[in-house]
Amino acid sequence: MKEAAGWLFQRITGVFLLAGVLFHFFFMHFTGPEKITYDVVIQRLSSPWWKTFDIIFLSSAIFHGFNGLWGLILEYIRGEKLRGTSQILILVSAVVLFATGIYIVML
Amino acid sequence: MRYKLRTGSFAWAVHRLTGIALTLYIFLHLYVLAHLKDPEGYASIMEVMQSPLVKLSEAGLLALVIAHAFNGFRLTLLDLGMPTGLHKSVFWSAFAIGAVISVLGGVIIAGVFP
Repeated sequence: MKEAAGWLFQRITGVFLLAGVLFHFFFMHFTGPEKITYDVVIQRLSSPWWKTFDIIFLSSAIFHGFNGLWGLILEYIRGEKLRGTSQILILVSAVVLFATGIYIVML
Repeated sequence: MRYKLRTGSFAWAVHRLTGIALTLYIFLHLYVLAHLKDPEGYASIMEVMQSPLVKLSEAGLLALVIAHAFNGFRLTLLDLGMPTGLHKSVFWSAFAIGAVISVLGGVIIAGVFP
């Protein structure tokens, strides 16, 4: 059951990330540097709509990426100690990244 | 038992490798974004971002993202019940569209278009 939920969530976040990442590339990477000056970026970040999008995008990316790594750990790491350590490392990384991301979105 | 490198197993290996790379990239991405806390820091990091090496990596990043996203979409279609007999033609169609987007995007990132 837990694995099935993980699988379903991996799909849902995946579809959202596919749409979000194309949108993100158009806004942030396919523009010249003059369109992403400090003021422009901070201005955009101050909108609650962008904050909402960014938080969902951030959470989806972190869940999707680290759930994927979690699966690889279960599949490839046979030693119990190393597996446990890797899982703790994955969880801590995900939490630290999430906290950093939220801090940036709330600037 | 030996695995033969065919369309499906090739896509599977690429999906894993790009997935690991993209997850690790989140660290770098948030490190860059953390410079938003003051205008001076942001200006200094944006200068680095304009260097040719970073631009080239950015184009490479786009190709990784597109490869992973399009293949993931194909897997989702299979999970949703798309006939497995179609998977190779879907793979090669996605590959062609993805290659075009990656090259075009790379050209845009390189700043060829004003």
